[in-house]
Parts: sequence; structure tokens; C-alpha cells
Amino acid sequence: MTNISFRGSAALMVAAVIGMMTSSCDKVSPTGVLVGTTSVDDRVKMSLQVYQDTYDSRLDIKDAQGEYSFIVGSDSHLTTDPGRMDEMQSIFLTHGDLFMAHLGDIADTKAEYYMTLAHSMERGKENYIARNFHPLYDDDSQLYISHDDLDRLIADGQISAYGDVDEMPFDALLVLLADYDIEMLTDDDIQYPFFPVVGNHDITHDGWALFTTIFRSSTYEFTVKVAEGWYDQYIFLDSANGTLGKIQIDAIEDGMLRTHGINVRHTFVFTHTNVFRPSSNEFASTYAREEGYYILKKLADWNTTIAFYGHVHKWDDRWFGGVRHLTLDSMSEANSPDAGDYLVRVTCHADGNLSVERVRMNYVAR
Amino acid sequence: MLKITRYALGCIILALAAYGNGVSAQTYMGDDAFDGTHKNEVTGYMSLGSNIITGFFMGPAVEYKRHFTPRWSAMGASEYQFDKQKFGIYGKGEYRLPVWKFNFYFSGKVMYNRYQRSTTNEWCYNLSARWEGSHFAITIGETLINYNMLGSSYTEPFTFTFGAELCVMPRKHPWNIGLFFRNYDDFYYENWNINWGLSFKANLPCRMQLFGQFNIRPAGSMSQLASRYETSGKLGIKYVW
Repeated sequence: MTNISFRGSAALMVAAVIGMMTSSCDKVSPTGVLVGTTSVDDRVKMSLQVYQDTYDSRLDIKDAQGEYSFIVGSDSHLTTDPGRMDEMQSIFLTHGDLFMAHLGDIADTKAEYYMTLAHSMERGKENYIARNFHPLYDDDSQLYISHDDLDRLIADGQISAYGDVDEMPFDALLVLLADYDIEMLTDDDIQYPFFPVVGNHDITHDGWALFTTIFRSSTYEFTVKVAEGWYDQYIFLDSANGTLGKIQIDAIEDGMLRTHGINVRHTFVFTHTNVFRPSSNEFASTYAREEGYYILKKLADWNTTIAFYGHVHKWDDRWFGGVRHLTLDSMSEANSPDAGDYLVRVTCHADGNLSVERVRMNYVAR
Repeated sequence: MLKITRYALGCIILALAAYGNGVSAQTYMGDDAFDGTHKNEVTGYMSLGSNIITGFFMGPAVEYKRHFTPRWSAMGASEYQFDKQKFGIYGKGEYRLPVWKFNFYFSGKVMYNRYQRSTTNEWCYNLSARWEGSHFAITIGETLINYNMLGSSYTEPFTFTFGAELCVMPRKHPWNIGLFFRNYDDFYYENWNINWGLSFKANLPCRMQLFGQFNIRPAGSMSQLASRYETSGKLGIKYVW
């Protein structure tokens, strides 16, 4: 009887473990099984679909010849206070950076926190539009022309000020815009240049659903044209689970994230999970060992100029394999309550040189 | 719903299989202590599995262990994973301190791994202590890991090493089965990336022992609600004399 009991125990143990193995597939953490979050493969499938649908029309920034800059923030862990997120967007707008990148853990998963985030993004986009686009006729028209396009018309003597287009008959305006290949844009047409990747705090519970409501994708790539035939390349990878996952690895190996047939000047890679641990007592996980080596080699194969990481909430600046690896501190007012240099600005100069500076955030929680 | 059905079906089938084979499917939990009857152990096993980098992989490993005294032992081991293109070799020395019903093991290990796909050379230096009871073992230690690739070298900060095993039968029982949870295996040390699974052993005639292991390696820590990184199995035989 005792033997049967032990055998029964053993059988149940085998059954439980292997049952979980066979049923949970790619979600094998006991926590993951309980919480039932998305897996990286689920997310990457969605992200790549969005990427394929929108790649040509939405993401490429075609007109940034000369010098430009971008800023990077990480681990904002936004809850109810949007102060630091608002400040990041304000810094971006004030300096005139081309775009913002965020390295994940943008909000802490509750729906109300994502509403806070969404409102912050809406305010940021409104400010961005107000600064860079001219509303046609009146504020309710929902049609905009970019200041860059209007500057071309002014330079050609077609108009003398932005407001002149409001005085023109609509038919005449359409002809003029067609002559200069200028598009009138709706609010939805205007891409707010905020490019995030998803972090581990963004995927618990319904996090991915909330994240994609605002940002849609976490695996994508775009280019910035820097000279005729030359581009800077930006690659965003989903590592929220501490792995790129099979589908993303396959996509990388298939060259899906590579831009073919163009000359690439700089490649920048953005992802959440850090490769390098800053100290012995940092237990925030990195990649499984073999995957970490794979990533380091892949970054070198891509001739990556800078790879950006977050996750561990500790600043680290390191060269390895010819690649500069920057791990950013948390910009969250909860994790980093004092004012500090939590953002990074990279300036890409016309001659191809780079300058990297840390950018101070002054917001302190009320 | 499909997952629940698959889970239930998997449990039932495997429970029946495990129980039905109970007479012969004896199991192993690693009774390492010198038993007074032999001084040499040689072990060979084959591991196979699948991970996200290489897909399917498999390869052999061999180990030799020598008990110099009832307290002191040393071992050397090597493995080659064909599809991973990974070669590993290590040497390990161990001291056993019996205290009441327990054994305390203190070990030092030096390991070299070559990851050919990423042209990486890795050196690991581990010091560990293991508390082993009749039905459990707990291991803690520190590991220093250095790797070099692409002309660069990096030594990680000390990595905390931890492991726990639980078995249903006393450790010296002719068969055993149990669970483990740890951040290392024979030929790697991870950071906070745990792996967990099931191990078993069964004594065979002629001083041989059959053993095996099912191992799941989630990527990331549980705080990242880890996705699967690797699943693998081992099956091997130990011979002592």
C-alpha cells in the first residue's frame, strides 16, 4: 500500500510537470501560467503584421538630411502621475529632436495607468502638431499642412506667411499643393514620432492589449534618410519576456528587419532587456546565456552603432565587440525621485559623427 | 479551452504511463556520497531538446568521478552539442562533511565552454555548498563568468548560484523521482534565469544506474512572465566500480 502510494505520488508528479510542459507551450513559468499573459511569439506575430502593413507608408522618415537628434528614455513605470512622461515630450519638442524612443516598462499595466499615458501622449501630439503643422482655415477643419511644406511655398514666393493659405480659395489651394506635391494631413495622418518597445511590466494581465491600443507594435524598423542614397537605420525589438523568442529570431535570420538595397550609415537598436548586469546584487534577469551571446554577435553583424537597453534601472555605458551598449536608468519619478540625467540624446551630425549626451529631467513628484 | 483539454489529457496519459510502468521506471536523484563499495564512477548521457536559437539540438556528455577518500572526490566532464555547436569541459573537486543525517558538500569547479555559433569562449569559476538530506538538496554558491568574443572580453559581476531538489523516495532508494529548480546545469550557469523540471533514477544490474531529466528553461525571470527558451531531456547510464 505504501509502495502504491509512492508510485502514485511519482506518477502524479510526472503528470503535473509534463502536463504543464505539454499544455503551456511557450509560457512555461508557473507565474506565467497563472497570469496567462501573452507570449513573446504572440506579440511578435502581431507586431510584424502591423510592421508589414505600415512599413512603407508610416514609419520611414524621409527628410532628415543634415544634422538631427533623437532622445531615449526608459522604464517610466507610469501610474497616475504623468509628470516625467510629459517632461520627456516637452524636452523633445523644445529641442526639436526628430523623434523619441522609449525602452519599455512605459506604464504599470493597470488600465487607468494606460489612460494616464494615453492622455499624456494626446497632449504631446497636440503640442507637436501645434508646433510643426498649420491648421487649414480653422481649428475645426482637421486638416493640416506641415510647416516644412509651407516653408517651401514661402521660399518660392507663392505665399508670404503661413496664414496666407487660409485666405486662398480651396480650389486654388488644391492646385498649388498639387503643383508642389504637398499633402493635406488629418490628425490621424500625422505620425507622432514616439517609438517604444514593450517591457516586462507592460505585458502582465492585459498589458499588451493596452500597449497596442496606443502604440500598436513592438517589433519594427525604420530608416532616416541622411543623404542621397544613405540612411540611418532604427531597429526595435521585443524582449519583454527576457527573450526575443523563436518568431523574432526567425524574422531576424530571414532578414525581415534589415533594409535591403540601401546604404546604411548608422544602425541603432532599441530593446527592453539589458545584456550587461551592472552589479552582483542586481537580480533583474538578462537573457539566457546562449541568447545573450547570439544578440551580441547579431548587433556586431549589423554594424550597430549604439544598442539601447532598459529594465535594470541602472546606467551603464560600455563598448563590446565594436558596439556601444547604453543601459538607461529609470525615468520614473517613483524609482528615481530626484531630478537627474535620465534621458539620452544622440545627435547625428551631417559628417556622420555622433555625440551622445545625458539629458536632465527636473520634474519631481508633487 | 483547448489548452485545458490538452492539459487534462496530458496529465491523464502521463499519469497512466508513469504508474503503469512503475515497476520498471525507477528513478535517480544523484546519490553522490561515497558508499564504501566503489571509488570510480563513469557516466554517459545523451541530451536533446529544442531552443529558440538553434531549434532542435542533441549531443553526448561523459563524466568521470574518483573518490579518493570517503570525504574527498574529484571529477571531470565534457559535452558536445552538435546543433548548438557547443563544446564544454570542466573539472570539479568536492569535499563531503557528514553531519547527523545530512551531508554538506563544498565544491569548486572550473568550466570552459566554446559557443562556436557566436564564436564565444566562456570561462566559469564556481564555489558552491550543498546541503543534502534524505529527500532534498539545497545548493547555494557564487559563480564568476568571463566571456570573450568579437575581440572583446567581459567578466560579469559575481552570479549567485542556487538550486533546490526534492525527491519522493529516500536518496539511497533503488529508484527515485523528483523535481528541481535552479539557475544552472552541468554545463552552464545562468543569472536569475531559472530552469526547472523533473529527474529520475533507477538502479540496474551490474552496478549500473539509469537516470534522466526533463528540463524547462524559461527565458528571463518569473518577474518577466517568462516565455519558453528551451526544453530538453537527458537520458544516461552510470557505471561504478
